[in-house]
Amino acid sequence: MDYIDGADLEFNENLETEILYGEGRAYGLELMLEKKEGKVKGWIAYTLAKSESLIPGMSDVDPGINYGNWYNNPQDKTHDLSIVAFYKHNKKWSFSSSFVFATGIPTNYPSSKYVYEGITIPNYSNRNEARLPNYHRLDFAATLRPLKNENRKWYTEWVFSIYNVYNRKNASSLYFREGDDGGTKAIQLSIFPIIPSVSYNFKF
Amino acid sequence: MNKSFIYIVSLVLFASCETVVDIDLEEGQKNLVSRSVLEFPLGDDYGVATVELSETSAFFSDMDNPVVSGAHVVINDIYVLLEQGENSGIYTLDSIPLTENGIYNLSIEASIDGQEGAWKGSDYFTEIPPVDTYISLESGQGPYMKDGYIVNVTFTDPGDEVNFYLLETSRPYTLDSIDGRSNYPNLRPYDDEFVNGNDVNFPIYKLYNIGDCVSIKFSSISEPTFLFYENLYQLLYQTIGIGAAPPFALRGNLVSENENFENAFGNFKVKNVFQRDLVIEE
Repeated sequence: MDYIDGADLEFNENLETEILYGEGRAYGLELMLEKKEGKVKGWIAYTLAKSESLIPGMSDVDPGINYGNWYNNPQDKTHDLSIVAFYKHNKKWSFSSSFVFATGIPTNYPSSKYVYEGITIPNYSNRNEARLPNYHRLDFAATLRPLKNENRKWYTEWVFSIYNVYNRKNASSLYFREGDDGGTKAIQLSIFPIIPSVSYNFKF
Repeated sequence: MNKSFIYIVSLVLFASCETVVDIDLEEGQKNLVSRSVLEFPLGDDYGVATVELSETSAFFSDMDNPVVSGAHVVINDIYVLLEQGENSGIYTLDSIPLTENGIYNLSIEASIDGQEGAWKGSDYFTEIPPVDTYISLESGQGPYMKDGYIVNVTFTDPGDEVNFYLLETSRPYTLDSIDGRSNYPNLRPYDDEFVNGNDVNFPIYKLYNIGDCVSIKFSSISEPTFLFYENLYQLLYQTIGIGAAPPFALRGNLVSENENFENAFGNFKVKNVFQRDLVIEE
């Protein structure tokens, strides 16, 4: 299921007319290596995958999506890697860190432009032919479990964490607009920069 | 201390969400862009055809799109359009008669980037009802709104059929700078879904001053042409980001006749036109 070309989603009471149905297929390989013993525990997981859609038109004059050919669906990620590690330093302190990497999600970029009726119009490539930049991120957390927790039925802990340690500006979308100098610029929208946080857990 | 903390947190959370980035865009194959129109003035059985041909260009290019010269442009296999001047890329022919069935086929043969291409497109004539205009004074609402005059287009929509219209408006000009009326940069497609069979008052949402001149073209267009304009607006003004419909390649009705090229960009349309040059007066 996917939006038709030029789908109008705003204030539209007949959204079903903006959607086409078709086939999907997904295949790939998943690998995982896990260490469960010792002071350092963790795992490495890797997925190699392909996820595609085939959505023909409703009639002979309707070309469907991507002219009725297979195309990457929006969830397609060729590579997806995660590395997670836990380290218990002593009874009070433990540390964890994770790193994730994923191929950028499919999107459409303009491949050329033209002028029609005085309006400059971008010409976009086939559906999901391009990709956003690759996504990667490193997180870190330190957990303090005070010693007074021992011999209690409940315990508390402090977690000091940093999300996106190296402040990677991962793209959530990318669009184009005219800059002040009249030229066209590519604008990347990123959310969630480096975010330090402190949390207090109470468990019973 | 508390304020500083809030500022720092806000800075981290909300700063630099948008960044200008350099990306390499692969330029797609060059293709034909055609602005093709066959206009029948209201009440006239003969129309004027104008076809402007150009090429696509790289997305980040600062250059104007190159015109396509030396093309062979024909309507209904009979009426050959002639290029105006040398290397203008503009082909015209007047006195094309209204056919019985109102269908017109446009054929274009042109060379793009050293490759021969051929495209064909079709559209049909739809009759415009009698149209009139009047100018009314609009009082500015609120302290920052000025008074001004607006132009209204009026007509009675035929009740027994579905109709599609296109309103084109020039920028305001003065009688000393009359060149302004040759361009109609403001376009507004319109269908009769909510006004079928009614008397329609179609205001142009722009405030004019006494002495301003404005030219308007109000046309009856076919449903495919209306849908083309709807898609054009959808492409230019659609919401972006997560959950939004993806952008797309806007194609008109000019279908490629060989494998050298995909369908051309732009559209071929047949219009029945009410045209008027107005001077704003009290």
